[in-house]
Amino acid sequence: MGLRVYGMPMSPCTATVLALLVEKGLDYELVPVNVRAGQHKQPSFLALNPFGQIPALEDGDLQLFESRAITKYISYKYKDMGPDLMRSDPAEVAGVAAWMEAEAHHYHPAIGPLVFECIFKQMFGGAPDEAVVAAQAEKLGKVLDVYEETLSKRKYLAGDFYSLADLHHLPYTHYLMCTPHASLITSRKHVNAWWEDISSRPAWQKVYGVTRSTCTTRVLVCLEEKGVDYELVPVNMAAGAHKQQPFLSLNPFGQIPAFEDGDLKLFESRAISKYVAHRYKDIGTDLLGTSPAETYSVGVWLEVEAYQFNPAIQPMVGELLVKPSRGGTPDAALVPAQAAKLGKVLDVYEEVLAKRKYLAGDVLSLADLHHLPCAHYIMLTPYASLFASRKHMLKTMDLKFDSRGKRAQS
Amino acid sequence: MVVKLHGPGFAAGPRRVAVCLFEKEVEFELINVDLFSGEHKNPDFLQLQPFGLVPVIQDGDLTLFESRAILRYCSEKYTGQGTELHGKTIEERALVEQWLEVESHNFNAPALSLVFQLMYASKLGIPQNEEEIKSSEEKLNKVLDVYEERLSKSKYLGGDFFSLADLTHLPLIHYLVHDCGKESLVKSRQHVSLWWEDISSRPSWKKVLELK
Repeated sequence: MGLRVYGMPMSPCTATVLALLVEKGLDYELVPVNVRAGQHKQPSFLALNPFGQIPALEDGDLQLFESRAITKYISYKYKDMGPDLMRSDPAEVAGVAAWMEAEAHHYHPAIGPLVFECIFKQMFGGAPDEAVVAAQAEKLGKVLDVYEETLSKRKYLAGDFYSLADLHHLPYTHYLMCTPHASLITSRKHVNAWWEDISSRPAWQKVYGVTRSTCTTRVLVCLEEKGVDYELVPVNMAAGAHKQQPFLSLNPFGQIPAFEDGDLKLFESRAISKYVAHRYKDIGTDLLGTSPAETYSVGVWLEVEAYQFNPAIQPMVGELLVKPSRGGTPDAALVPAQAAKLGKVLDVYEEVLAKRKYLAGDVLSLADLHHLPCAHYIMLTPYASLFASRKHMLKTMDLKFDSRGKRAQS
Repeated sequence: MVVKLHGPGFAAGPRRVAVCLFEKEVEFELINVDLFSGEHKNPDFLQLQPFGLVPVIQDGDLTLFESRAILRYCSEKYTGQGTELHGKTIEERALVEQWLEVESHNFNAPALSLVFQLMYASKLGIPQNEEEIKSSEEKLNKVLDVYEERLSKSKYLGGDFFSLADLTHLPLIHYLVHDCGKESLVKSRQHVSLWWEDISSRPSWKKVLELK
């Protein structure tokens, strides 16, 4: 099929394109570009984008770069597929165009460097420049004051309809919500309501939303690895849906995820992934080990993840990523204490992984996959060094995976 | 060759494994590990279990740790002898796994906290944390309410057969009922109470309580 996106889902500009493709229900292939290894500056990629930036798009013979051009092209070419986010009425089209310009010239220059300093810089070994962070936060505040005024008069930026202008704000704002500066959004009533609305759209949930639930991602990673078809049904936790019927009949503990396969209903992410691994043993990767001894070893390391790794890392994800997105502040004592515990656990892992390729043996298993969601999140924080400083860990735990859960293997 | 189970006979993890070995009629030798003198943190022991925890088993060439991994191993390896503990179909197994996870992630933490506070804190010279006790008991009550509902519809947690999902609860509920004065958690719930009577009177559990 025609559509190929070159990029990485964690990259906000790539995510913008993916968000639109999912919104419109279009099939596409995601071709990973290993930015960490400098692949985006290689001749083969420069042929797609001479500026050496992701994303790039191929549709049949057409090659395009610049995410905002790509989304416009997709909106025009596939106008009749899924929602029309560019509109047809000339006045509305112009309104959408105006707010896309506002995003590009006002919003992005304020938020881009802020997100870079707070999130991406330390993935490449740097530390946030507090002066830059403060200055950018102030700029973004002024932009958001204008948005607050606009959104007090209408539901979405360009009118009472969701459009490409709103969509373009999703990825960077998502990252902002992972930092203490989430308060810039949550403190503005109408901006906050708008954000809640656009970020809970099912299409966006498919691209970035569900990764906030590490337990849901744990199951998705397994399903994606095995190539098993599934439907993801979002649960509106902000509205408390998980504590009410009908969800409680799927999981009486009121926790996500829950799972249905024909008549079978299951909860507990690790039970679900084990079921998937057993039931679909012959489809895709066999995640249960290639010999009885390996299978039992997989069992051991599944438990180690549950009892040693997860209790150390899960509270860190909660404090550093979930709490700020709800307007809270990370507990300054708890996080370093948890990091110290996690460090000790990872020391054991480092020793094990110095002697064999994966946790349970020389073949990838469910035990390795179960670690990915929380590890992936911590890589977005200054504590990324816990992983990055342990070379065997970093090599083995291929922490590049897209937000559907599919491991990006370049 | 006899399976070796490393760990003290009174600790929850080793007991969890021991009851499973008895159910599966697997002969084993209990090799004590002196936790109070820190034997579990010695280099020799760390070769067996790199996190310095009990239990560990050795079955021929295979060394395994994490009690619940050992449960699953025993149940699979010795399928066809003793009690079948993980269901007969993939679907039955999935439900057993689900309730094993519930025990791990919903039951274990508050139960362990309560046991630690009420059984061990004073022995270790640590003052009891009243808030922690209250909060753990509250959590445990909520979990047991869900168990009560489940057991009103199903004879055992994983289905109508005794399984690993039930067995895994034996050590901590035993402490709570017999050593912590928290019998009411069980007795106040009709179906949980019946279930507890049933599983704790199994011969395998009685044998575990006799281990030194």
